[in-house]
Amino acid sequence: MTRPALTRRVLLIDDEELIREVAEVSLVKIGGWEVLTASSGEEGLGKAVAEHPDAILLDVMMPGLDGPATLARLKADPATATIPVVFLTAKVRQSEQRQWTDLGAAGVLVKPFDPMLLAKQVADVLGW
Amino acid sequence: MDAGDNEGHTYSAGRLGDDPDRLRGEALFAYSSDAIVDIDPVGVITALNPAAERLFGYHARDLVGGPVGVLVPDRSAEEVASLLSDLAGRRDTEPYTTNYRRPDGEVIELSVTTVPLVCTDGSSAGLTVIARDLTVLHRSQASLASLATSEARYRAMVESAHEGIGVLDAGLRVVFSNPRLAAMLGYPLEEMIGLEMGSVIFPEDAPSLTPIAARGLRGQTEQTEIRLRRKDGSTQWAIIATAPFPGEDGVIGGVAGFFTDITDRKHTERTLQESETRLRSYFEYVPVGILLVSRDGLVVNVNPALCSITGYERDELLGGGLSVLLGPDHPARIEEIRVLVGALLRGEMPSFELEQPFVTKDGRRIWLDVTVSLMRDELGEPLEVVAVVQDITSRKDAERVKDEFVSVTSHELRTPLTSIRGALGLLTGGVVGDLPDSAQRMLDIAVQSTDRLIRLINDILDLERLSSGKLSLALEACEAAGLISRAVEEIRGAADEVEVEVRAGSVDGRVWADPDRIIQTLTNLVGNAIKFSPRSTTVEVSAQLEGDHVRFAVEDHGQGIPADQLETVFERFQQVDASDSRAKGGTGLGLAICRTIVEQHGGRIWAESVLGAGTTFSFTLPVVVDTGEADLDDRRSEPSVLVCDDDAAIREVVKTMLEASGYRVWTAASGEEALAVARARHPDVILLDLLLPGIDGRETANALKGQEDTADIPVVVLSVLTAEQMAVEGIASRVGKPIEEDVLLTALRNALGGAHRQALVVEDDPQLAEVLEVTLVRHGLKVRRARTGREATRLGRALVPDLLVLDLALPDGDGYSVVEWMREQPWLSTVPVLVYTAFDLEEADRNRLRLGETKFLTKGRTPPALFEAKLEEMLDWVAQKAPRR
Repeated sequence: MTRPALTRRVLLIDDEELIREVAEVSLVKIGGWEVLTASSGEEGLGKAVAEHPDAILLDVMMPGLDGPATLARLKADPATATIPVVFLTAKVRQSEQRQWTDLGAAGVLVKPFDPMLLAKQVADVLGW
Repeated sequence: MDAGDNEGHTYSAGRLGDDPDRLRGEALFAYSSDAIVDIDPVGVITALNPAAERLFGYHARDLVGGPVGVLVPDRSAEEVASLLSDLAGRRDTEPYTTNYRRPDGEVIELSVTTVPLVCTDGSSAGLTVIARDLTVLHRSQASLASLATSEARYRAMVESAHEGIGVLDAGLRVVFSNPRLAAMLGYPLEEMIGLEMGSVIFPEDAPSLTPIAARGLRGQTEQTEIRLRRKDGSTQWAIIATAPFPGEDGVIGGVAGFFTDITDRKHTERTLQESETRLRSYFEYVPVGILLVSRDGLVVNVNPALCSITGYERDELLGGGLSVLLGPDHPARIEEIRVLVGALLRGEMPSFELEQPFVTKDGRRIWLDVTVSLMRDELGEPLEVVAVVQDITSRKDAERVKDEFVSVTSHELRTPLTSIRGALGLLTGGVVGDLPDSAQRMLDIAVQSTDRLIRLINDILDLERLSSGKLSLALEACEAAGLISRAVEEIRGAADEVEVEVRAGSVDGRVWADPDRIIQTLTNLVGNAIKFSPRSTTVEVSAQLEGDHVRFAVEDHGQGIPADQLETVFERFQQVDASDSRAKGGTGLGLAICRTIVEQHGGRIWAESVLGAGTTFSFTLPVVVDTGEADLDDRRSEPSVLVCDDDAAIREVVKTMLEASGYRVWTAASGEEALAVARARHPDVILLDLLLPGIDGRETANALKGQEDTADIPVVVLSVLTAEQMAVEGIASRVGKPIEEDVLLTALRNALGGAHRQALVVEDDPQLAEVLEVTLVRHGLKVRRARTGREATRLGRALVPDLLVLDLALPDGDGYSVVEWMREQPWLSTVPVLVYTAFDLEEADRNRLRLGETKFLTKGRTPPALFEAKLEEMLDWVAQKAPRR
């Protein structure tokens, strides 16, 4: 199932359009990945099932389904349970990530992020 | 002497004629209370009267006709003769005194008069001796004198007594008063006589006195408190005790009254009473809830404020425990409080405070602040537990609102910053195309300023959450070495960039700390030091044990801080030199955050500096105290393991698992930390995750093997790879992930056994255990000691001993249960055993104690040399039959 590194597909779920745009450019241009985006938890769940991306970058604070709730749905659905999820959040500091990994996330990255390093950081967390 | 002998006159028959003079003489002789003895001229007693018989202690019949010398036994016959002739010649009849020893040994003093009897012809007819016992007289004189003294003594006592003493007649009039009673009533002593007590007693108290006085007259003794009106009208409180007073004829003639002045005491009582009334009104009206709990844990009183806070009636709260403030669904909290109250009662702490959610009777959810302290009586004995309860719901609500604000602000500020920083980053990174140099320079400025704004927001939020206590410390025992190595690793990149070397100096000690916060502090201090260090200089980080704390120090060789600013650098937005610091990109909050973190740990932070030479920032943290001898023993006996994994959750799970199985556990989050801790603690075995950030597991293992002081420590790796795939030298064994407890424990036991030959000594007597240990160590075994069966089975989980030395009598049972348990464990069922016991054992008992090769020695009967010989035999057997695993 794993694709060659260059064609990794990442789903980015964030309600902030500008952040989606910056992160997308960063991951596509620096990481060389294919990036799918969703502006809400609900939309993200649909795309995760339909597209089965290699990883999901998930915002924490969103209206409607927030990050942890979205993660719980992803883990509950066998179709998406195995997709690694990395939280991308402005809510916490890096040193407090423990409580988030406890929820079943593969890791936590904090905002603001350095767009030149984002792809590498995601890859490090996922062991890519 | 009985009446029958009282017939002295019969002895004197023929002495005188039958005329009235003679008869009077006879009567005098017979009935005189003085002793009369007649002696003839040659010294023979011719007559003695009954009084003489009594005085001298002889019967007349024993003396009459005998020599008078019997009555003067201490004189010789010649002396008596000479005395007689001397007396016969005397003409005066003056009495003289002399001592006489009676036949019963009593010495009496006599007054003696001798009357010579001279016949009409002038010839001597002998002597009449009249003697009187002076002893009786003296005795009665002495008794009279002592009577006089005794009365004087009693008088003096009565006169000077601190109590008022008076005697009242049947009409309760004073017939006697001592000066004190007069003073108490304010009367001159002479006015006291005849004073009617009825007129000085408060009318209200008279009814209580009259019956007592009446009973006093009947001979009973009682006491009561009364008020007396002094002559000047003021009030005198007294306790009056009455006793019957005998009159002249021995019948009760009046009442003696003893008055004790209790005016001061009454005053104190009234003050106390007023104070208690005042306190009671505080208790009733104070707006904080108060709950009083007796020593046996029951609520004995609550005030109205507590009722209004909780919504419960007084009666609903009385009789419950302190737990009425907790509600039924907090069993853990109840246990916690039980422990705290125990500590309170033992005087280990003066009070404790809890914040506690509470559901009122009408179902409202509120927050209570409960401060519990102990009231003691004047002797210091615990009296009651007092809980002061405040409704802090509104404060909690305000806190929650503020927390939400902080959290939302944090998020809301960072969201646009994320896009700004992202867009700028992509631009400066050339991702969207090359830019002219002038534009590049402007963008670099924008990126730097954005980064600084982000740090500022992070620092403000950190400081806010730290000061508000929102970030609670997760304290654990940490190796100073591990903290420093992690912080140094984190900052190394920044240091390399400016060509400053960061070095860990001498490091020692374990501290109670929240590792994340202390690493944040160290990173901050080291980051600062780097910023102010010239190129090619060194920043040294060290930790030293100093009494009850460990002092961490970060030393740079920068320009230094002026003395007057050494304190102010820790204040918010304070900079030594504003232009300088801002150029270095600081937020001005770093040191304030450090200070807050250190102070929350109960430590102190300060700076010392020599201008032009450098600065040292130091902070202290409380040291982890190894408690007492027991702990020392445990530490020596329990095998220790260092668990190195970057995943905190795995570290925690493995630590818990291993501690439950008899291991002492240290943890490290990185390879660097593992190397530092391994050096400092020299664990028995190291469990190492292969996938580590920074230097990975394989490099760490190699570094351990390459370091002389850690080379002999067996390493067990945690990895998903197989041994061949790993190809790491010197690995004892491998444990896959996810970790299975049995597999892990087996791997550790085998690694331990592979490193040393070990003996498990189960012996509760420390001296004996010491002797055994010395012997075993001399034979090259590492000794693990257990004092109880429980400790033995705990250690049995952690290791496979090459030899078990077992004392049968253990404090928590006997050695049989230890052997039975071991027989059930596959890795222990063939361990050789040396049973060392005070008893001779039956064959059946011996069989119950066999595991592998089993030998028995009897305590006290086995000489040390034989014991050692047996032991050696056993050890040889062990070496042959049980090859190294």
